[in-house]
Amino acid sequence: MLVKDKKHDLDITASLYYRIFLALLALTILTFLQPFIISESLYSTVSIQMFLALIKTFFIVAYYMHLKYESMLFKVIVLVAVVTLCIFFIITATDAIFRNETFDMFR
Amino acid sequence: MNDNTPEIIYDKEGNPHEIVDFNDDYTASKLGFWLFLFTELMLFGAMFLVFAFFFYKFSANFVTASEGLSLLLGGANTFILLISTYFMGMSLINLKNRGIEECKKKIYITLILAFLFLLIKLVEWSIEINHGIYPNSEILNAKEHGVILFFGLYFTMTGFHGLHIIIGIFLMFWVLRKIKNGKITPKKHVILENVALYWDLVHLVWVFLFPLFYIIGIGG
Repeated sequence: MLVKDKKHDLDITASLYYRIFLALLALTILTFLQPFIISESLYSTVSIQMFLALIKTFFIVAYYMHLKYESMLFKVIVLVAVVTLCIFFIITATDAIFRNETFDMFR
Repeated sequence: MNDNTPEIIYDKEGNPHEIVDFNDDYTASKLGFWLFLFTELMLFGAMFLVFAFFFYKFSANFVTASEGLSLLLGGANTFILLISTYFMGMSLINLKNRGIEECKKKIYITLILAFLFLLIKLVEWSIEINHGIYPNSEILNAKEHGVILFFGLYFTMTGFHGLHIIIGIFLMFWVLRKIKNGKITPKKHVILENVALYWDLVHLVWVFLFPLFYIIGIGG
């Protein structure tokens, strides 16, 4: 049986794609300008850049990759992938920050 | 089961449908592709993890090394990928609206932009290599430990990303052939949809690669 998700055809339109493109373009221009406008320290630059990248990720995944219109199953798969990756990052960050320090749990 | 007996499946309302071909299962095709994207996320995620670890350890060296990269070339590629993903998505919308010729035109534009991305990347790598900056080169090995790590990660991560662009180009040619042969139609478009998803992932990876490699040199 051919299973077809009709909701897709109704919700994804050319004008929506164009509006998302403009939003991404604006964010990309901001990515370029940020270090010239606000550049207090390396860590503030990295934090702002990663924040901008996360907003862009939201637009790309939700609209360009249609996740907003997918069933809960697809959303859970992406969530599991992101949570798994975050666990790796948190454990490694704990190692990187606290290795050979007072609270080194890997000693 | 007798070969002549049709297999029946029932929907939520209890209406019977004859199973014609399991290969046309739209949801399963997309689910399978999302699982593949999961593995891609883990592949690039692990590399970003290594980058984050060494960036924390050798922040000053990473900033110095980043200053040596061309913001102009990296920035041009950022805009090229952004525009290419727009055209890839539009090709799918055109196909669904029965505009097959428009769809093909959009895929060709995406292909040109993909080749342009590779060309700029080639120029960028050539500049680095001509300056003696490539993995295990004498000039690079004489530099500080953090700088060696930065360029090692730069060539590995942008190299892997470039490989994905090349695979994407092959996939687009494959899709164009399938459209020509009538295998991808306005009613049967899951292959194009999955290739568009793949191209979005390639764009997504660059969204993080660009600030981490090119912007930290200015902002630091």
